[in-house]
Amino acid sequence: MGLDQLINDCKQNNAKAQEQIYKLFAPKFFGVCLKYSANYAEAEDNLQDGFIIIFKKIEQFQFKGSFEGWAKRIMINNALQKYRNQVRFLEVVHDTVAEDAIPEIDDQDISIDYLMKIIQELPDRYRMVFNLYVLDGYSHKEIAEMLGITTGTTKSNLARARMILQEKINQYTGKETLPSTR
Amino acid sequence: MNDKKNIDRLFQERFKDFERVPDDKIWSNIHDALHEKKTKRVLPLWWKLSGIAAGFILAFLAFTTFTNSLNNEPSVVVAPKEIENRNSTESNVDSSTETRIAVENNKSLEEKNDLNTNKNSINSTSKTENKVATNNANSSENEPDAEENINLNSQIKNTKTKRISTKKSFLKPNPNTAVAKNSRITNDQDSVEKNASLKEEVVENSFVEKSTEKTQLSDKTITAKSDRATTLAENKTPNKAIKNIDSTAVALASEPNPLEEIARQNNEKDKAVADVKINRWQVTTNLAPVYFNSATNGSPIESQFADNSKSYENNLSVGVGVQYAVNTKLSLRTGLNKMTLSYGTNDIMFFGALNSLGVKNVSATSATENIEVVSATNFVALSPFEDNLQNMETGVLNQRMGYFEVPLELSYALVNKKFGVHLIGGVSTLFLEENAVSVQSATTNISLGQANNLNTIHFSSNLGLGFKYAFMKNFQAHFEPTLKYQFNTFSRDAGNFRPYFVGLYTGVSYRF
Repeated sequence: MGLDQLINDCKQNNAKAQEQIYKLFAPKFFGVCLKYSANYAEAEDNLQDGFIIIFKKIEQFQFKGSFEGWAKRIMINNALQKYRNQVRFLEVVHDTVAEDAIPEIDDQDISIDYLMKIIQELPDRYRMVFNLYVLDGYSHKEIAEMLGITTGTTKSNLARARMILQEKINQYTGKETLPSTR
Repeated sequence: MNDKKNIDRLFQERFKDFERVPDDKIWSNIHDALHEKKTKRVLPLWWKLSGIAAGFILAFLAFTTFTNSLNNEPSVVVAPKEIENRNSTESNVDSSTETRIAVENNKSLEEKNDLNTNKNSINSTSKTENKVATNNANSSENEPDAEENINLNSQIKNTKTKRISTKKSFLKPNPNTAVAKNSRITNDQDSVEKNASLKEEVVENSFVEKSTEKTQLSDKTITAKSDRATTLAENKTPNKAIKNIDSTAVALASEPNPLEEIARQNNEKDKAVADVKINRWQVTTNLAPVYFNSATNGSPIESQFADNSKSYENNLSVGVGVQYAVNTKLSLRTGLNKMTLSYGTNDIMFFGALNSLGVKNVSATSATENIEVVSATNFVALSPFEDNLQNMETGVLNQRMGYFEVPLELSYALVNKKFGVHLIGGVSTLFLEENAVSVQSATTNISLGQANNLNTIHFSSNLGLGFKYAFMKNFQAHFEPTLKYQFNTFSRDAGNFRPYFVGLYTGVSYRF
C-alpha cells in the first residue's frame, strides 16, 4: 500500500493506516522530539501529541510537498509550542557574542547519546535555536518569526548555545579548546 | 588523528538520520486519543418522562378525534332500516322478520296512500308486493333474490322519509344513463299516473357523479308494461341484476352501496361541521428575544476554557408559524424561526504564533491558523520580556451559532376565552446555518474560523407557557416564554457544555 493511500485512509480516521504511518515515521520523529525536548519523557510527550495533531490535521494535507516534511514541521512546531506555553522565567541575556565564531572541536568518539544529552541540557531557547538553525536548516529570519523574537536574539542565542556545547564537549574529551576566531 | 571540525558540522553529521524507536505505549496512547469511544449519551430523566407524556397526549388526541367522529354521526343516515333488514335477511331470514318486513311495507305503503288518493288500490298493490317479498324470502331464503326483494321492500318504506313522487329533478344525469332514459321513466310515470294512480314511482338518485358512482334508482312501478320496465332497469343499472319482475310489480332497485352510505354520511358530517365551524387554522408571526445559557460551565471549544467565565449574549429569533386546532383545547403547531445563539469566553489571550496548534474544536482558515488562543489563567507567570516578544492581546473568545428552527409543538389551552392561557410542549429541529468563532480584544476583532464539533442538525425539547389576548375577532396577540433545552448540539467533545435558551416569543396571529 502506497504512502498516499495510507494518508487517504488516515483521512478517514482508519486506525490501521494510522498505525502504519506511525510505525513508518515514529523513529525519525522521535529523534526530532529528543533533540527539541529537555528530556526523554518530554520527548515522548511531544511525540505523542505531535502524532495526534498530525492525524487530526491530516485532512489538511493536500499532497503538496512531502508528507514527511509536512509532518516534521508539525512535530517541530508542537515542540516549540510546548516551550512557548511553558511558564518559565527566562534569563534575559543581552550579549553580543561574535556570530561567526564557530568553535572547532575534535571529532573524537563522542557518543551520540552524549551529544543528545548536552543538547537537551541547553536552556530551552538556546536548544530551539540551535536545533532549528544547525540541525533543521532554518534561517535566522525564519527562526525569529517562529519564536517571535528578533534575528539579533536568535544569533546571540545560537552563539551561546555553541559555546555551551563546546564547553561540554571539551569537558567530555578533557581538552580545553579555545574558540577559534578564524 | 584530530579532525578539527566546527561544532555545527559535528552535530549535523552525527544527527543526520538520527532515529530512535519510541516505546510501544506511545502508539497505544495515540490510538486511544484518536479513537476514544463516544460516551453514551445520557438522556435526562425528564426528557424520557416528557416523551412518555407526549405519547399519552398523542394517543389521547387520536382517541378523542376518533370517538368524536363516531359520536358525531349525523342523524341523516338514509336507510338504517334497510341495513337492519338486510342484516336480518342475511342471517337467515326467519318468518318473524319477514312478517315484520311485510308489516313495515304495509305501513309504509299506507302512509303513501295518504299522499295518494287511491288508497285501496295501493293497499292491494302493497299486499301483492308483500306477497312477492314473502314468497321470495320463503322460497329462497338464502338466495340473493330474497335479499334484493326485501331490500326493495324496505326501500319502499324508506321512501316515506324521502321523496315520494315523480320528481324528475332528482334524477340527475348519469354518464351511463342517457337522458332519454329519464324521459322514458317520466313517460312510464306519466302513463302510470294516468292509468289508475296505482302507480307510484320513486326515483331516488342521491349520487350521480361518475361512472364509478352508482345510480341509486328505486323505481317501483306497478304497471303492465313489464317489458319496458325491464329494459329500463337493465339500462339504468347495468351492474345490478333485476331481481324481481312481477306481473303487477316491477321493482327496479339498486342496492345501496355501504361505501356510498359512508360517503354520504361523511358529506353530512362535513355539513354539520360547517354549521358549527370553528376557525381551525391560525398563522402567526413570532419575534422573540432569546436568552442563551448553559446548564453547566463547560466549553465546547477547548477544555482549557471550561472554567473561564462566559458571557451569554441575548439575541433575536424571528419567524412565522402555523397552528391547527385539533379541538377547542388542543392545537398542533409548527413553523420556521431564524435565530442566532452566541456567547463569549472571557479572560483569554491570543497572539500570532508559529503555526499554532490552533484551538481544538475550531477549523481555522488559512489566514488565521497561526493565531494561538489560551486561557489567561495559563499565562499569569509570563515575564515582561516574553510578553513583549509576543504581541499578546487580552480579550474574549466569541462563538456564534445561527440556526433555522422548526418547532413541532402541542398547545393545550387552560383558559380559552378572550384572554387565554395555554401550555406548550414539543420539540424543535435546529438546522445549523451560521458557525463562527472569533477573538475580540479592545483593539481588534479577528475571525478564527468555524467550530468543527457543531452538528448540522440538532434538537431541542421545548416547554412553555403561552398567554394570548384576542383583540379582534380573528386576531390575537400572544406572549409565550418558552424554555428550549438543546441536545445533540455537538457532534463530539461538548466540553460539558449544555446549552439551552429561553425565548420570549411574542407576536400576532390570525385565525381563519
